[in-house]
Amino acid sequence: MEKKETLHRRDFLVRSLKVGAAVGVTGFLGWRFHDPEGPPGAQQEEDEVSLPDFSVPGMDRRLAVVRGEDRAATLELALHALGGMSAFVKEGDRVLVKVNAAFASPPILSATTHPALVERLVQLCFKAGAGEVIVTDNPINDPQSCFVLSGIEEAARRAGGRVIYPRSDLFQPTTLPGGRLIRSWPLLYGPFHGVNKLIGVAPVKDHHRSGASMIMKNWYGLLGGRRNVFHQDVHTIITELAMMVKPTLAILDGTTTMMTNGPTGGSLADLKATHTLIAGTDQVSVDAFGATLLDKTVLDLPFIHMAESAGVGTSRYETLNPTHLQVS
Amino acid sequence: MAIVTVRRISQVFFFLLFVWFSFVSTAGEEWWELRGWPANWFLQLDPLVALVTFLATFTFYAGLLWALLTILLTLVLGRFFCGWVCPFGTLQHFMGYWSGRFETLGHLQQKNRYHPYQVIKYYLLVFLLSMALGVALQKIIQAGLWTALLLYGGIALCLLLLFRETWLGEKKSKAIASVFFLAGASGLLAAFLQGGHRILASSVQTGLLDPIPLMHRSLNLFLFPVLGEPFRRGVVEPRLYEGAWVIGLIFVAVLLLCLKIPRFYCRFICPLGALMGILGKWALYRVGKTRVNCRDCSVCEAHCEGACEPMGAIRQHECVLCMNCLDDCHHGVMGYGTSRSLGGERDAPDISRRGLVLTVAAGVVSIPSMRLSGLLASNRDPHLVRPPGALREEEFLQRCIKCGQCMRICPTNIIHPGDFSHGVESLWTPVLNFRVGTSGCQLNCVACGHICPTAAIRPISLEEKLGEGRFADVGPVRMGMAFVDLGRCLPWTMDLPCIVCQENCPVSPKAIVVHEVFRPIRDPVHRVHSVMENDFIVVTLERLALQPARLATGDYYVRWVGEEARWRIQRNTEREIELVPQARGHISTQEGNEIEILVRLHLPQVDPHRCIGCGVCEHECPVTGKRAIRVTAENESREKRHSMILHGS
Amino acid sequence: MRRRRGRKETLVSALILVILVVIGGSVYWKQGRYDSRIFTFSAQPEGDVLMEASALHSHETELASFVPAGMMPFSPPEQFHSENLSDKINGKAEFYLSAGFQDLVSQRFASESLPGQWMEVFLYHMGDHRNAFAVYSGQKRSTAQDLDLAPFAYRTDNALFFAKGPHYVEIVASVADPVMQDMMLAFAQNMIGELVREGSSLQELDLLPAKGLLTESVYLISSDAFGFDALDNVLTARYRIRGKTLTAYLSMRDSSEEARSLAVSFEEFLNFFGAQALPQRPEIPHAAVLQVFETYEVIVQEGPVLYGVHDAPGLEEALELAERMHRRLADLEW
Repeated sequence: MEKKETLHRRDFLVRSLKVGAAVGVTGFLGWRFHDPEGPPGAQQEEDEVSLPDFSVPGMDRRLAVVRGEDRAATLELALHALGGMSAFVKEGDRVLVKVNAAFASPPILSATTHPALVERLVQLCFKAGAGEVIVTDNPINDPQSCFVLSGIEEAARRAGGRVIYPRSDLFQPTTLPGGRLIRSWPLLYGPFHGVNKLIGVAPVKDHHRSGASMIMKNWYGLLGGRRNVFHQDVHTIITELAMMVKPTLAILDGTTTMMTNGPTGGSLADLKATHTLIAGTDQVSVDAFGATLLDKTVLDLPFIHMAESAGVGTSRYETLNPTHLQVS
Repeated sequence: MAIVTVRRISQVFFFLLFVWFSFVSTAGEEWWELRGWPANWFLQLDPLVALVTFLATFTFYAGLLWALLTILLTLVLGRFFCGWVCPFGTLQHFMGYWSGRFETLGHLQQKNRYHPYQVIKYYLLVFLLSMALGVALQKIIQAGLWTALLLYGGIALCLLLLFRETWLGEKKSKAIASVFFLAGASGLLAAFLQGGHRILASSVQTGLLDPIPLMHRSLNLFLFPVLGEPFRRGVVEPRLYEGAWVIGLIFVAVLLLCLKIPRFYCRFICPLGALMGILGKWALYRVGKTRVNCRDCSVCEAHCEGACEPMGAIRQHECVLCMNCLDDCHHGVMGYGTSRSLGGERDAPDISRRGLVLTVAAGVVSIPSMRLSGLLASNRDPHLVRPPGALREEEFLQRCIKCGQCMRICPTNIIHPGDFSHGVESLWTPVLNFRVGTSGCQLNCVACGHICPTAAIRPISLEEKLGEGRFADVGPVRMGMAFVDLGRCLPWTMDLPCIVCQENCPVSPKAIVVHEVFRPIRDPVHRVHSVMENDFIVVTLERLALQPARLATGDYYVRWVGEEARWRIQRNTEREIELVPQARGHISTQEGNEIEILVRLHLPQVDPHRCIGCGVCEHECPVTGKRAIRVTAENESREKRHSMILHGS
Repeated sequence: MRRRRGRKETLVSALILVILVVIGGSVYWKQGRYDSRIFTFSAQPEGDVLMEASALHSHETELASFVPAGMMPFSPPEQFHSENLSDKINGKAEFYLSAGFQDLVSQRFASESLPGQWMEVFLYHMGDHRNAFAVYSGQKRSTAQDLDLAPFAYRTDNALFFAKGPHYVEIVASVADPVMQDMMLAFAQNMIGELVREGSSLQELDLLPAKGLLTESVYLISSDAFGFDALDNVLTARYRIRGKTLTAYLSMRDSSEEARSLAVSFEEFLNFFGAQALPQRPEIPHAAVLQVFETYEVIVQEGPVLYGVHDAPGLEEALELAERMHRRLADLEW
């Protein structure tokens, strides 16, 4: 009888302890995680990011215009005129090359950055001592097909670069200070981790809504979300993009210019062999010169003047004393 | 007083209280309306609701802390909730009692025998809870790969120690256990590499089987509407709920099954009962034999509600504390106290470890599998318009317990239980249907968010809903966007004047603007026989061409062919048209001229910057079948990815 | 068959029953405590709520800041301008619009303790104190009890009205209840303390002779007095003399010339409608005395003041009133 009682008491004690512990844990969790107001309204999720200034000090206001058919050759000559790639890319740098891979078009249609140009550019970056070269864009069409069919993926790989595809978790919201459109908007920020140099390289194209798609419009490919909504106010968005992105170098490829039916083009008849490559550190000037290849003026492209007024650069490229060269 | 008498009183009390709470969940201040009645108290007491939302959101929202009281009492007393409080249990208990009133003891003992399938409810509980584990696992992964592996290893070790008899006993078990361990580890690795977004997600689906939400749903959406809603404020037409017949069917079916097997749902299906059973494992007080003189007569088992075999080794996890065995035993053997039953006890259900692990894995994997259809991503259903204040879909599905309270409180009857078309997870979650009910979403109503027990619909203030005051730069809460169907809209496509949508648009300035156009009617041209300009200006036609009075609505105009000016028609007969007095002196009285009859149309156009998707336009549209203006979920403010217009434009 | 109920069992049973009673009581207590703002949708009027304020006339008066203890806002504040005033007060809008109405801010407040008892506060911005007084005096109810809350304030069984500075305020309660009346008074006091402190005194009021004045009939007509559109800004008051009721009026014009020409044109206006001139009286020189069918009119101009008697049933009484007014003016050294 006594043994039973002792057993019972011990069992009861053990149970009481377990119950007590359970109560304690539940009570603690309840107190710790109690939320009297419910979830907040405006989606206050991830922290916002912003792009740093990638321009190299002392290298501003430079512009070079090289005429020639071979992109690799014109590129090298242009960079040489600006001071050489090593003036921009230093030993161990991580370079991000923002190409235009918007469409799954073959290179001959000139709707995307030419793979030969990409390949040579990546090679030159490595030659100047870069530790890594990343090539990226957020295409309009399916990313896989765009990078492959445009030839950019193979070109980058051959030169030792790495293509980063725009996965959804690589986007983070950003706000342009003073901007009206870029407010908490998803930005392709993931590829920029550890990057300290940014080169934008794009072809010269006519554009149905904005008049032209060149270096400043090329940054559109860094935006995520339902960005087509910005087409309702396209000049403002291009201006805000130019304000947000400060590249190390801008390389505008006018070797074959898409004169009409941009930005997709589609016919070789849309193209004109203007055989010019423009490189510089002032993206407004670069675009202003590019406009001439389209037989347009700055007045035809409001975003150029808007970017100039915002202080991004100057549209009067002559004031930069551009170097004009010819590939023999 | 006998304890069973008190138990019956308690059951009746809580049952009536529950029905009353469900009944008063209508917006208003009369005593039969919501006022301050704590109508969600049972949902708040329900520990399954608190537990599953905690797993999915890592918060205990507001009143859900009541669940701690239930948990505390269950830990101490056992499954008192099932036998004394749960209204669904009471209802089933009654059905079982009713059918068993005149049956023999032997027959009753048969009905109330333990059945091995009673273990199913534990698997259901684990499965449902596992569906909500995604967020917790994601947090582990976000803590870093090594932390994750460490934690995983730690948990595996704990499980091993707890169930070491089984693991280390059979070789087969050991092999299977190792396989599962490795599978889990690789899954974790894969999830980590992917950032966890694809594989891990939480979804709260306990509402499907949890008896408290189930009963609220059955009352709100089936029973009350079917009975006619006698006290509902301003009922002009019966309340309707899409798909409510299924809910009713399930409810009735379960109750009918209880005639065959008492407390059918409690024993076999109820995940809340299963949770209580697990919590009651260490209960300080338990039912059991307190004396050794048991005659094995089985009288106690005739009315055993939980089918827990009190005569043998009583299954404590099934005992619902109905106390019938105490009351029935002629020899005073059964009692309720701190000692374990002298006849032996089983305090844990017969779940196989293998089964457990499989169920957990199934639960965790089920959600991402369901989400492959993309209904939460690019393949989302545009007709999924949720009430104002609803969270983003991922977060919404981490909270909604499908209780149907919002559907009952909505004064205009536009909140309906969703069906499978919006996704399996959205079954019985609130979806707006603007065609049904008395108007769209009323501009100044915020009732649904304030009654939601888990804040799946946030309790927004009127200020926030209208986008005023502090919320002026955020703007109003938008549920969607109205789109005019040009092929069905009467003025657009049939030249019939109508501006009902624009008239009824409740926001200010209106979100529907109209464009005035003049179009020739069918057979518009007529030749003039004569024109009279006396007290009235009457144009007589050469032929009897018109329908009398048809042009008198004030929308029809006459224009002389070759001229610009239009004159409104006041009245007409078959041959004569009377124009407004302003036409005097401006029209040609020559006979033989041709006139053209025009109809003035106001073509509606939605202003996307103003439209909040309240659905009043859709509700009022006279094209009553498929409405000529319909609200779909574009531009809903709860999901930035769905925004259709630029901010600040 | 029935076994013995142990004492412990009875005790536990009793305890549980007590708990059930406590739960029932708590639920009953809880049902009376709630925030009625959640249910305001049912009390909302049709029409626009909070329009965009027009740039020129926008008064951001926070009515909720004047709420006394025991009351709380019951509906969101509403604001109306000239274009949509009729949405709120329908045909009455014309009355205010012709008196210089700028905007109206209104809101409802409910009693925290007494369900179903609420009041609506209307704050009219009339531009200046004369306009405010005009609309105040123009609708003064006959069952008014004057309040010493402000120079121009009165109340009825379920409402309270006052004019202060350029504001005209109406507080209307849903019940004729003394507790609500106290609340309204407290509300009004809070408001008066905060509203513009500029004086609401109307100079002309002093010019009205006191004897025989029916005080509740004092009315400042903003425009179109007696059907004559040039006659604006006229203070009228009714008098009872020897059982006869007649109206005295006076208006301050900008200059003597203006007063003179207005007097002349008013006389012409009356002549047009069949008035007959009567010979002048020595008591009040340069007063025009006319008979319009069965009533009498007196028109006097003294300096910039145009005054007289209107619609008098008896000539003697009209002249006597005119003389009283003349003497009053003389006393005040006009």
